[in-house]
Amino acid sequence: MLLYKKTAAELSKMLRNRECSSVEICNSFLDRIKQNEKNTEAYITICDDIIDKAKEIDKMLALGEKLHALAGIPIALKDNISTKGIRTTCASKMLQNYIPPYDAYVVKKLKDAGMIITGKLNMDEFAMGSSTETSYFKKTHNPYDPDYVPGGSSGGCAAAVISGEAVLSLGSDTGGSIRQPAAFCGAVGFKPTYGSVSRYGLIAFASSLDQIGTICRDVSDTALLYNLICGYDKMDATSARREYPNFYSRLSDCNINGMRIGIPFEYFKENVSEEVIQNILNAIELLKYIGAEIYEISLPSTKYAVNAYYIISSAEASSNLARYDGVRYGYRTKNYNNLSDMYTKTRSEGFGDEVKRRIMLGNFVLSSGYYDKYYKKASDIRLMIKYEFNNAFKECDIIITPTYPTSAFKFGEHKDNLTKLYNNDIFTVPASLAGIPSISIPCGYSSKGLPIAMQIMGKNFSEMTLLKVAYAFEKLYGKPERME
Amino acid sequence: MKIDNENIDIERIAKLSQLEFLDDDLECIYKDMTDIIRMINELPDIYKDKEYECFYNNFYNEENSNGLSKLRDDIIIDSETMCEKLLKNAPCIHNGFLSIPKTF
Amino acid sequence: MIEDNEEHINEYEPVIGLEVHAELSTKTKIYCSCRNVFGGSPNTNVCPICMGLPGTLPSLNKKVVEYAVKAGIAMNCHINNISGHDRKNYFYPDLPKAYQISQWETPICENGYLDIVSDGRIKRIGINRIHIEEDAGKLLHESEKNSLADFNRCGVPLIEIVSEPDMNNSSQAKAYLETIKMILQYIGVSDCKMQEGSIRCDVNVSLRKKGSNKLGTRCELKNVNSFSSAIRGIEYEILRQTKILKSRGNIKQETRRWDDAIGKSIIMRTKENANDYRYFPEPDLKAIVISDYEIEKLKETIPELPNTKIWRYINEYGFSQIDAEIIVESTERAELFDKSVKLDICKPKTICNWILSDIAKIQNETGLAISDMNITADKLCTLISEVEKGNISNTAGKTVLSIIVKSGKDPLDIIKENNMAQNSDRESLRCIVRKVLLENPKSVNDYKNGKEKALGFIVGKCMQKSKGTANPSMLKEIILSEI
Repeated sequence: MLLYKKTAAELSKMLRNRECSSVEICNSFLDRIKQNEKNTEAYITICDDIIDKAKEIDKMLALGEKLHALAGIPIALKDNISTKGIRTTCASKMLQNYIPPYDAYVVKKLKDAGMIITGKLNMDEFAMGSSTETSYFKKTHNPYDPDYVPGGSSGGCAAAVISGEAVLSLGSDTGGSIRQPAAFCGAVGFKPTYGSVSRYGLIAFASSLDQIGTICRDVSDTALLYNLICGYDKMDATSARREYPNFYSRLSDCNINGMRIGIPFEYFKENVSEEVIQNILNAIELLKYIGAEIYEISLPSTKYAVNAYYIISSAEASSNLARYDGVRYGYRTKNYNNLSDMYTKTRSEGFGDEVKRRIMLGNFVLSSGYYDKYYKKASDIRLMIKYEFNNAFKECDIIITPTYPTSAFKFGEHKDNLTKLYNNDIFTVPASLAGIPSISIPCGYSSKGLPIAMQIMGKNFSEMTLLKVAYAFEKLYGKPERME
Repeated sequence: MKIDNENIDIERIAKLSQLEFLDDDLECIYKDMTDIIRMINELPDIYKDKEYECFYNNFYNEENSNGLSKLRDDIIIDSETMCEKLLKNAPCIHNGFLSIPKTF
Repeated sequence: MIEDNEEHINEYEPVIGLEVHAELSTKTKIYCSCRNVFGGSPNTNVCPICMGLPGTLPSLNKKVVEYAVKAGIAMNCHINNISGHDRKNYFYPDLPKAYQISQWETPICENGYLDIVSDGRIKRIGINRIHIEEDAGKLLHESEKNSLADFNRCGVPLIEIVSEPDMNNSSQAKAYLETIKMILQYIGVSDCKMQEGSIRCDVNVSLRKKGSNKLGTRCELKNVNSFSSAIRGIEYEILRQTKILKSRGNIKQETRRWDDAIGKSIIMRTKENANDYRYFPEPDLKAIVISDYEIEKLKETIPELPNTKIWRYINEYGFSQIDAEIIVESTERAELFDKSVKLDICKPKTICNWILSDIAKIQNETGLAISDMNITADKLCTLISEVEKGNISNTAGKTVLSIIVKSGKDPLDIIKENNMAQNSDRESLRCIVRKVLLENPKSVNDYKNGKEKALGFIVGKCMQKSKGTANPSMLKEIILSEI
């Protein structure tokens, strides 16, 4: 069977059993990329030293050296994660030729484990978007149907992993940017607790919301990869100081008998497609079948979550993106007469429309006279949302909702209705605002054959619980059919 | 620009953002900003009951703050090679300085 | 006309507030582990964090917080157990992230005061707050068209000390600035080298009608590069604003740039063009928590402050203000003095004299600091007491001192090795005197006949006979009684 179709866990076993070499694994992916990339267009940059690195790992394995379980396994990264010496663009003209002089914390972890970075994946520009359509370079296509978007902003990750061009990927989630593309492409998307994975080296969009997470083909691979990237990093002051269990090895103990599942009725009201609701309810029935108990709960502030999210994330983004001024790195305009000119032209030419909208919105809500009305109020709502989740988790262990109100949409479908697109983030942004972990796992298909997924949320640092429930569900329901 | 009785000064916000919008783009951004701001204008007042107040006041707990012992020690880490690498991305260098148009 | 001016000037009272920025003398910068050092080739003391590269995050230096707390304690501030960081957003090429991490809402220190001495009186100046923030880089203006940016200084830790508008004239402002400088140097948190820019200030000046509580519109003066230019700037502003009020104009709230070379201030920004900093809480850093226990421990590391010392020297030892100030001005001098006094061997006044004249003389000649002079409190007191007891002469004492400086030897050893012991034995001296008087009857007669010079001759002869060891004052006394 073609190596690129296997899961990382399977590949790891095969490598250790000498059933194949790392070079063979990497070549399989490179061949698949060559064959399929023109259809998917998931990659912005493909590394040129993949085979060399694979040879090194094979050499060490041959010498009997004890290596990490993921050594020799290839992985692709969303293009907002800094990789030393490898172009990191955030899918923007502003950073088109920017080469970071340092590795992100997670990249160091991957390299130390002997993993092989295949390349950098396409995304919405500066992670702002829900479809990967705002990328400066290219549009990535949903592997299930090329007329449909892969979701965003980690669209390249989901598309690559499901189309066989990668087996593991790291993306980032600020308001749903891992979970939604995973849902659209039939992958498992995992946003862990805020602070459990270091943000050092993740090019910032909204600092208090950004979180690096995984997009993989199944729950085992998710646990395997998350094991590697989670942990305290002194370079990130918001990084949590704690120890984490071995998630992968504990997966098999996934008895969820008596698990209390909360279903917030606010997530099942209008504006959600019937198909989506039906699939989620079916999935919940399956979980009931293996012993879970279902409770209806209420999260009243859900309806304000989108507003609070767009205010806070835009505010932080407007500040985080102010450093792109053409002085020290990145794009600088060719025509300017003075400093002010250089700033405005560089930024107006270097940023795309969506980024500019968010920057304008952010500056507006922080500006003199508006701070209390918008930013401060949004912060209060955010705390209220945290508070409501806190209370909810006293009554239940996990909360299940749809990941997104619809399955994947067509290219250009939302071009004339920005706010509708924003409002569809309603299911994913609360977990981002509260910082709690959330996993999106495929649980059905739309009538057009596009994947539908459910979201499982837990309280802070309850990743083991989430992975267990997801694993139990996956065992029962099975994994989506992968296409050729 | 008026939205729900608020006067929004797009030019001022553009200046704060160091962005310029010309002709058609200006019309577009006006429209977009109108729609978005109208959307976010729906923000309720938070009713804070006693329990919430307790939660709110405990917010600066272990995880949200850093005591002195958790801060970085005052120890130098030099990196000569890093400085060279840092300047490699610079658009315009002159004798080790970064060159920019004149400031006043 | 002149009377008119004076009347108007007397109608208004200047109100002055100062914002002092001091660079802290930690080893590393505030948010990264680069060296905190002045100078160097451009852009050679930088890293991804202080250059604001995408993806980097700040990491707060513990020492910066400790130094800020110490400064706050020394200035009688309340130290906040919890304080936060905020972003101050604006565009300028010397600011890599296009925001400065500062403290807007809750600074580390608040509501303190400093007592200063000005025009012979003590005045209390309120301190509104002390907060920590990061310094920006430097811009050089190379040519007509270009500026050059150097980010070495980016991220150097600063404390900003904001006074209440409690000063009313330029000499109070000067005293305030000098007091702050002295305190910060004393507690070891900043070297306050104005020429290296490690201490800077912005000045706020307004005029208020005498007797009124209502403050007038204030103007801020920036680019004040020395304490004396602060004084000049203040005086210029007072005059400028007085002239406007005199002609029934209104003062506009402005930020002005002080140009010391031409002695004028020039408008930089009006209130309308003022920066909108869009402060909001820094999401990349957690709040700082400082326990009362930690504050106590830091309090213990603060030495007696200069002002307290000066007043103690004046009150306990009866020193003049000038003498007290000169000793206190140098931490080493003050330390030597305090340690010596503690030994309880010599009188404080005597020790003071030795430090201010004999030791100071050698310092002037050699340019050495006290720490390089091998003078310990022990050695100094031993030496002084030998002189006081009459075991060696004053002149010999000075010699011993310079030998200590050169060799570090113990004074008693030096006296022995060089046979400097002074003969203060009355009996042996009397013997010598009688002998000399017998051997020199002519001189005795000359003296008895009114020739003062003869006495000198006799003293000289006695000195010779004693091989220079005779205690001069005792000798003279014996001669006069024997003659």
